[in-house]
Amino acid sequence: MSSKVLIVDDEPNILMSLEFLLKKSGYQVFIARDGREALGIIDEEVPDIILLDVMMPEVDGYEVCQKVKNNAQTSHVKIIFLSAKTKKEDIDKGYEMGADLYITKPFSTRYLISQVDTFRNK
Amino acid sequence: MNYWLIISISIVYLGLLSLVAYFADKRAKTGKAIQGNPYVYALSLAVYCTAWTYYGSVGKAASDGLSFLATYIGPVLGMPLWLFLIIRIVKISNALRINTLADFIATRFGKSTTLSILVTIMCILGVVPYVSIQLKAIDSSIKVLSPDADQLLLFDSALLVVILLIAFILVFTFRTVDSTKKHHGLVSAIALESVVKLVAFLLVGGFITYGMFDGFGDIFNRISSENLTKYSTLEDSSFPVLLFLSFSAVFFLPRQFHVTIAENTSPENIKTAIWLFPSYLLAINLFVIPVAIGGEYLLSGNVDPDMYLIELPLLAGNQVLAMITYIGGFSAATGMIIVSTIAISMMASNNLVIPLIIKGYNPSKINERKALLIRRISVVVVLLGSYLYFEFVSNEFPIVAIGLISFAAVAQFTPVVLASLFWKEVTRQGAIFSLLAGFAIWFYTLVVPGMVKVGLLPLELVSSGPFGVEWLNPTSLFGIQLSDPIVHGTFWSLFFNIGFLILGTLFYDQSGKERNFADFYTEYYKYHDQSNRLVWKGTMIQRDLKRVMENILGKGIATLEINSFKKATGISLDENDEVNPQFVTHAEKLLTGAIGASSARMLIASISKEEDIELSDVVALLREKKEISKLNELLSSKSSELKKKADELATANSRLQNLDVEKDDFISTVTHEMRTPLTSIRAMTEIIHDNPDLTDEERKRFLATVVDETDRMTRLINQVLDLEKLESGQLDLNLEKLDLCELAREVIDSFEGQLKSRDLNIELKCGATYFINGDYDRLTQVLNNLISNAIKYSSDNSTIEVLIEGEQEVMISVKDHGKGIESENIDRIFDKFFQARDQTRKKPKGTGLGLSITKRIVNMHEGEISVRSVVDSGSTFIFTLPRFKEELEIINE
Repeated sequence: MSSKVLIVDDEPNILMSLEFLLKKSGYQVFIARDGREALGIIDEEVPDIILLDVMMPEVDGYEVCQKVKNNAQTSHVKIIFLSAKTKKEDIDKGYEMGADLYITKPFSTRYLISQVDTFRNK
Repeated sequence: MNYWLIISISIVYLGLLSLVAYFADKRAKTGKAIQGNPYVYALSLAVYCTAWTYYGSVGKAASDGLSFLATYIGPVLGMPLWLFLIIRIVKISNALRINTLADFIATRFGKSTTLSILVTIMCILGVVPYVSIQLKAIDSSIKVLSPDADQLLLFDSALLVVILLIAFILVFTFRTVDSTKKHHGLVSAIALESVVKLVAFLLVGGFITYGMFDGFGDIFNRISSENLTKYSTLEDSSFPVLLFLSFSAVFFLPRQFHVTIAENTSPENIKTAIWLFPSYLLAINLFVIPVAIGGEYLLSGNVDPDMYLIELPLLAGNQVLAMITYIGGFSAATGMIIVSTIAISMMASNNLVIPLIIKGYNPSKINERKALLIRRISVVVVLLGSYLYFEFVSNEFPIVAIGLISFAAVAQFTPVVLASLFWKEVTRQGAIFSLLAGFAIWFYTLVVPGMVKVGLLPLELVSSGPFGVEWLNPTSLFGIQLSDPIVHGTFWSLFFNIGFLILGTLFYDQSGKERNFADFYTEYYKYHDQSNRLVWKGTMIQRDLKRVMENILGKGIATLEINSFKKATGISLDENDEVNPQFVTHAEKLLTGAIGASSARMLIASISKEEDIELSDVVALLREKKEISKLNELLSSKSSELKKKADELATANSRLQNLDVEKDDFISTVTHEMRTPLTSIRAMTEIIHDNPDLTDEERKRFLATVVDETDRMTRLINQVLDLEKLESGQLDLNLEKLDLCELAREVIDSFEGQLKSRDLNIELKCGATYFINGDYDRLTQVLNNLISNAIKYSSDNSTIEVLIEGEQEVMISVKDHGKGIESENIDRIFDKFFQARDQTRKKPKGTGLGLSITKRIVNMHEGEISVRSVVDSGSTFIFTLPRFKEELEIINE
């Protein structure tokens, strides 16, 4: 069974491109446009990997990450932050919240996919 | 009454007094001094009330009525002055170890020997007759009690009293040479004497009023009709002069100066004295008028009115009360004699005898023992002198006359002392001339006529003036007749006294030494305890100074003082070293306490090579002091200025920091906003690059996205640049006459496509045709921003209303029906990237710069922009613009 990846971002064009790439690599892809929507999906379909933006309306990425990692049923889910926030303290905060990886925007899609592959194989 | 009984009682009384003095001294040694008690201090001041008060007031009342009260009203009226006058003198005297009036005046004028001698002589001449009348009072009262006593004796009773008093004084004072040591025993004894004379007077006065008569009412009914006005009105034209004389006397009589200043243990005590002393004066005068009236009624013409107080109880056959009266009078007289003698002998020995020895012989001949001996001899001389004066002169005068002449003598000190405290510029020459002139006129107008009266000088002197020069007549100088010899003498003596004080000050300059003390006296409060800052200049070996101190103060005290000075200042006082000037000043102060200011001065001078203190030294000291205070002022004003500047700097800094933070925020937000389209662009291009197998449709979609995102970046960059221009003021408006409704229509039309896709409708309402003076492109941008915002936030299928209206100015409002703006954000909505501040939440659409730019453009057109919003109902943005000028003029016409 293919691994499930949840992409959370409020930028439609980013969602579109990542969905295309991940599907092509054989992942089952879920999409959420903000944190609240993401938490709903996570509840129903526990993904293996989450690609998470930080800056979103309503519930931000940090919060989503924290909730996932603090919940025993979802704490194993790998979380990769994809964020335009590039300051050291923002990155540190991401790892503090339990992220497995923090990638700053803009990023190389090849690198991203290779990292997602690595997590899947673990 | 038996003469020996009287003498025995007198001796017993003095014996009791001695016991009190002895125990007070003993207590003081164990640290429980009675003298520190403010009541003891206040009572000791009542030494002012002498036998003159005791017997003489009655006599004066009997002859002149109420005018006797002047002697008591003067001091009472002067009481408020004590608070700043006496406290001042006490503090200065304590600081400089001054304990006589002579020292106080001489020190002020550079420790002038001339002045100390002059004051001493004036005091002696003024006071010896006064002491002698006390002897006369004792003698007279004994004679009344025991009329044929004199025949029993080889010498008269006054001499016996003198011998007893000499013994008392020698035992209880001057046991150490340092006269700044307070005489606890003496002061306690004087306070007791004050109680005794008051109680005696009240007892006897009460007996006469209530025992011999039926109280005040009864006595006042016996006033003979010719005497009625005397007791009911005060027509004595000399009254004001008498007030002034007694006012001066209570300050400057040597005995008053002694008890008030020299024996003062704490300036605080003065506050008690201020009410207690006047109360005492009131009480002791309570029965004066009744006794005078009673005496006149019962004894008129037969006896000396001065003796009514004894004669009346005798008349009533009450021997015991007569004896009590005698004891009261005896205590009044002895108290005055004791204190006056001490004060006078201290001045005489310190200012006349010791300086003579220092000058004439060898300074090293003076030591503690000799100084004491000299002072003791002075006591004997003063008392014997008073006795001789009594024996040969004062019998000829009534008590009151001599008392007033004494008062007039000490009144001569008033101008100089007041000037020394309040007139910084007054000079030594002024003081000398003032005292000489005042004293000479006093002597000529008040003493010479008396000498004529007793036959010492020819009668022509007062009848037709000296050598027949009428205007020099001592009883009417310059041919001016005044009501009373005392008024005449006081007036002219003070006239010349003050005149010469002013002239002497105007025509001479102060020396440096004087200036030194002038400053200290007039501004003593600035010095506090810094009397050591007084200047001394010269060369001396410490060993010599130490030897002198040992001689005068005793080895123990000298060593103690040297050691404590060393400890306090950390200055080493090696025997072979040059002296420390500060220590010299201190030592001189100690010696002043022992042998008086001028003797101490001479002694120091004799062992040192002294340089005159140049005025410039003092001026330098003063200038230093002034400059320091000026510097302090400057410093404190500078520091407050500095504080202000620092505050301003801090504000500016925090503003800058805020600006910095704002700028950082701005940059990070802008870069952040650029990363998002870049991410999409990169992702899309990588997909196209890595996937040659994409369908045409897919490729087209991805490329279109790349174009969109590129546009978004361009918009962002343009807006950042716009804002930068607007903020730095580099943007110039291209002003032209614009039809606002037309402009709005154009902008709305450009949104047609977007409106259709979201089922939105825009309604434009123009109240009239509005022309404004504006920049077409920028105003288009404003409307564009507002309308695109309205479209973004509108709920689908709703209407956006654009309204243009107004009279004096145009109001443009854009109203949407959307989700509205939260009230906490409404104030910040025009800030750059305001939503970005809360950096993890994001504005859903747009760059975050639009409203910021809009506001700036509106402001540049002299308009205002504001927003009203209701959450979930919609927002209305309203901005104003001034109407085109000519159009406005048409409207206003």
